[in-house]
Amino acid sequence: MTDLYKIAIYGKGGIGKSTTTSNLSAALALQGYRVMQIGCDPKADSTKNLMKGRRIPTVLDQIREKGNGLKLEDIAFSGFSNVICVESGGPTPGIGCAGRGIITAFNKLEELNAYEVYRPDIVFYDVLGDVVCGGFAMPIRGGYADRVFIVTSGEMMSLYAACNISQAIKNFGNRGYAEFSGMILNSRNIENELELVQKAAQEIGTDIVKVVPRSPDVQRAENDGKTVIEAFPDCEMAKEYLDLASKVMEVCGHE
Amino acid sequence: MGKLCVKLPPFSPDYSGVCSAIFDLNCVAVIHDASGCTGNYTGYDEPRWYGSKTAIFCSGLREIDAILGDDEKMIQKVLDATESLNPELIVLIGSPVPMVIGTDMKGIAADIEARTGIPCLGFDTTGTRYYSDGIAEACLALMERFTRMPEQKIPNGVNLLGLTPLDFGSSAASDLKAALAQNSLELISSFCDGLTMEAVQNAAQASLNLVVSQSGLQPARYMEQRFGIPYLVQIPIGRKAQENWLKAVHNCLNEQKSLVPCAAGGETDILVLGDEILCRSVQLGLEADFGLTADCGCLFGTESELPETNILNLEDEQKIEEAITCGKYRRIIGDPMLRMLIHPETEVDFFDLPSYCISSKMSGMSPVSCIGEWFNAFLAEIR
Amino acid sequence: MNSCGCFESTLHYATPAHGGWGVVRMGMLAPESYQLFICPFACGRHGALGALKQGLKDRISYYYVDQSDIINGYDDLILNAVEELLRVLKKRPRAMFVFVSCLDDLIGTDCDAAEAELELRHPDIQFRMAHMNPITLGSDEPPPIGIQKRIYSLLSKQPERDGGVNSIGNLVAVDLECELHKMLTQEGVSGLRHVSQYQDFDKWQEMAKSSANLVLMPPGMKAAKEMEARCGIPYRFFPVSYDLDVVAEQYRGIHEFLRPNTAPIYDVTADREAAEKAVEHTVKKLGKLPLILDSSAVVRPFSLAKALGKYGFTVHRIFAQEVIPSDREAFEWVTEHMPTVEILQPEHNDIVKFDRRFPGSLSIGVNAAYISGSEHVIDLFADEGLFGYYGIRRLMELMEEAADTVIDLRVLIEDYGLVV
Repeated sequence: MTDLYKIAIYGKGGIGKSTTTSNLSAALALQGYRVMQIGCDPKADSTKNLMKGRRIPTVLDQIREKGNGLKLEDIAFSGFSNVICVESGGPTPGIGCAGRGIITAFNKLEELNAYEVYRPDIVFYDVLGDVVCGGFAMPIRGGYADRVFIVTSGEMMSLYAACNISQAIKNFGNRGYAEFSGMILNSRNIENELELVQKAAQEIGTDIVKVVPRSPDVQRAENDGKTVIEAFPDCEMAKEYLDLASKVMEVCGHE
Repeated sequence: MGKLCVKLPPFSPDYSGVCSAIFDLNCVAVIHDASGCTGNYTGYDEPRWYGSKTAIFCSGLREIDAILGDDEKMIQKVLDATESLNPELIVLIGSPVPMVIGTDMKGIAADIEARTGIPCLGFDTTGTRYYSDGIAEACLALMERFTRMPEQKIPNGVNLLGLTPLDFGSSAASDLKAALAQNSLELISSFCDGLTMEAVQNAAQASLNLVVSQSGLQPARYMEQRFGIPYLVQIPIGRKAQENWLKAVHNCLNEQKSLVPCAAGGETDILVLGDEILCRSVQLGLEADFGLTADCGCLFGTESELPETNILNLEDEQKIEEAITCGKYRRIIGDPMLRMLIHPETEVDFFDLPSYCISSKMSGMSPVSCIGEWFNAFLAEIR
Repeated sequence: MNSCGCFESTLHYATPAHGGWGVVRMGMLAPESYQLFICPFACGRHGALGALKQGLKDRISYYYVDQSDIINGYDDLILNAVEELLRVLKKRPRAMFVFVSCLDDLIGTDCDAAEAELELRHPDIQFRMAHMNPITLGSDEPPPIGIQKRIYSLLSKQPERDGGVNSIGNLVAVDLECELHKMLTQEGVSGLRHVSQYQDFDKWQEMAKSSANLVLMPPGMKAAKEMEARCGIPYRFFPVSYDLDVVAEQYRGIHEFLRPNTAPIYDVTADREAAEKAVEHTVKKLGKLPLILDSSAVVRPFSLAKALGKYGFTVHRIFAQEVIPSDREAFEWVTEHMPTVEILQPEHNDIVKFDRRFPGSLSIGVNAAYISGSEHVIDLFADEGLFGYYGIRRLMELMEEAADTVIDLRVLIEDYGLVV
């Protein structure tokens, strides 16, 4: 395991991207990878289920509070199976600039040498995909994620967001941005869901990496502040996430 | 700079630093702004602007382009200018608005490079940091991109790092270069005063880097890591100090080791205000030539990795004013504009050493050189 | 301008002679006012150094915002910054402009709310949130228009009229030698007022008692409209012209506007004759000396070109970045009737080649002089102080003086303290 895999998971708010990402992180961490998960959503709850349901202080909160005295341990926390958890955070609701917040959080992580200190094998960026302005596009820029996956369901708004994100990547082919690597269908059990998403994938020019079924175990685990991988490691759903994990790594070129 | 600033003008920002560093190169450069940021640079941060043909432009960014993220408009303008002016290098420079909307200056640079085949560098400058950061970033980008691994080093070859008109008046820069020549040191590249693309490419032939301002530190560390070139952090200020500096240069050359000379320190009533390397060098000059100790009042942040004595981080107007008026100091060296902070009842002798990054063309006096024995003349009355 | 006669959108080149008053200096016209900028420190550098040059730095302060403030929004910081500033100021100002810069247009600070809260906390001071935001150039309220609107919004409605007349939009008062003053006095106007005449905020309020606003420069239009709506002062636009016939018409227009049917008309014959004589003399003296006109010197360079062309001067070149509406007709006239005149954009990226040198010329405007390398220069900025027949006469004087002297352009440019 010498390569560093940098993967961005985008999706519309509420689509289950944080759940998916956290279970991916947990699954891969159990397999022995050193995983870092960075939540890029002003909601700042991406890593909650890796931290026993605890919300960690965000990078922006800490910058606000500690200014130049900020240290790496103020913003990076060790969660389930030593996954390193970071939340970029956001501004006071109603004012400021959330997109710029993500950029500033990323710059701060670099300034504090986070990647050199923790030496992760895999970094997940869990990104809100409703808006793809400059800041929210940051994780797919040169130097950050190499691969982008989009979590979607068959719902219209979710597919719309997926199209937006793929468009953002395509528009800037010359800029050395991340590669679009496929869609993850997080089933909502709506009518013709697979067909709808397949059609969208075809239009965008990508594939569905995996269909993640809907399971009550997810909610049960989250009620305990845990991922399915942590709470019910032997259940069917855990196997689905382990399968998703190996498929993602396969797409990323890991043998 | 700290928050409320009542008397002093703001100091030069990062985007001016980038421009200052690339000024001598055959480039098309663009500050991505509406007009005021470019006006800061061309009007107040670049003493060489009058009479020059340097192609540094303003992108003419407008609200609707910012809101829509319409980078293509700027890209087209850059392509047009490039076609007309045939530069060797294209440079894109950020400002506060691109910072807020998160314009990807580096990504756009890659795009333009792909379309033109001309090397293009992008800088995420923001207008919230000092010029020294901009100079350092520009030098680093140039070195990373263009400096070649040399076949062999030139034994007495040196580079100057951190030399721009924002810190050094024209006389100081030429005195510094003369000091090298008189002592049989070959100047390979000067970052950035009279810089050429060829000099950038050949910079790693040097056997020693001479860091003369804070903006030269990061590039020096990079060159030490990448090319194994050691560095010496000192401006030769003062007759005796220059002799010591020369010894240090030869030591560093012979032993291929970096050196950051440091004054002995102690109690003092002298305060030097400015760039940390300038302050430290004046401190060394006072010690060597006059047997005096001084405190360094650093206006542009401090370098925590350097060994220190009597270093103060005066990061905003209140702190500078407190230091000047606290009663501890009887003699102060600094830009004449800092005199505005002296209270009527403060008893100090103030020695004017103008810095363009502070007072621009408004210092009311000609540039001063303190290189070598000029310092002794400058401070004739300090005893 | 390209070969097909269109103004091009290129990267902008800024010569050392580029710039003008800037919003800081304009805002300073308001008596007993103070300025606080809330912005990244970089945004304040040119304004602060310009203010130092103009001796106005004791009326301006900065509160620097960093990246964290921008992300989090600085609505509250504005209130705190004002408190902090008022604590250190020795004298409380009567009015305070709280400026934000370009980036505020993107993050959407609630400026109205801030203004209301500030006035509530400090009822003795009138607050105006103002914008130094060239990012809005080309919109309906770019900085020069916005700041003038805010300056004049500080004049509060007065119960009565006193028969005075204001000049609005011009940054410098019309020179006292101008016949406009004589005309107004003779026709019963108590005086031609200009904001620069007042040092006292209360005395300045007399401008709100005036019966009329003469708008002499386009950026004052919005302010005048707003004063008409709020204070009931009617306005008319009389842009500075150097054309004898246009001036004649303007004076008729001013008379009609101010004193229809009542006062006897002021007789301008002598003033017109003096201007005609001056024109004749200067045409004779300058002969075929090529003239270069510059939009930094006169607000309407094409109108000037048209007038000078009619008088028999040799207009060689015009520098204009764009054509403003009140100059459009003249622009079309010039392109049709003076086809040999070169029209160049002073900010075009190709200006940096400096391949249009023309030393043997007289430039009206320092930017034109810098680009063309003219030996003879008139250092006029934005028609300062000129109007009517006097303006023509004075321009002729300046042209003759310039033709007789060779100027040190560098000293001139650096002394002026131009602000972009």
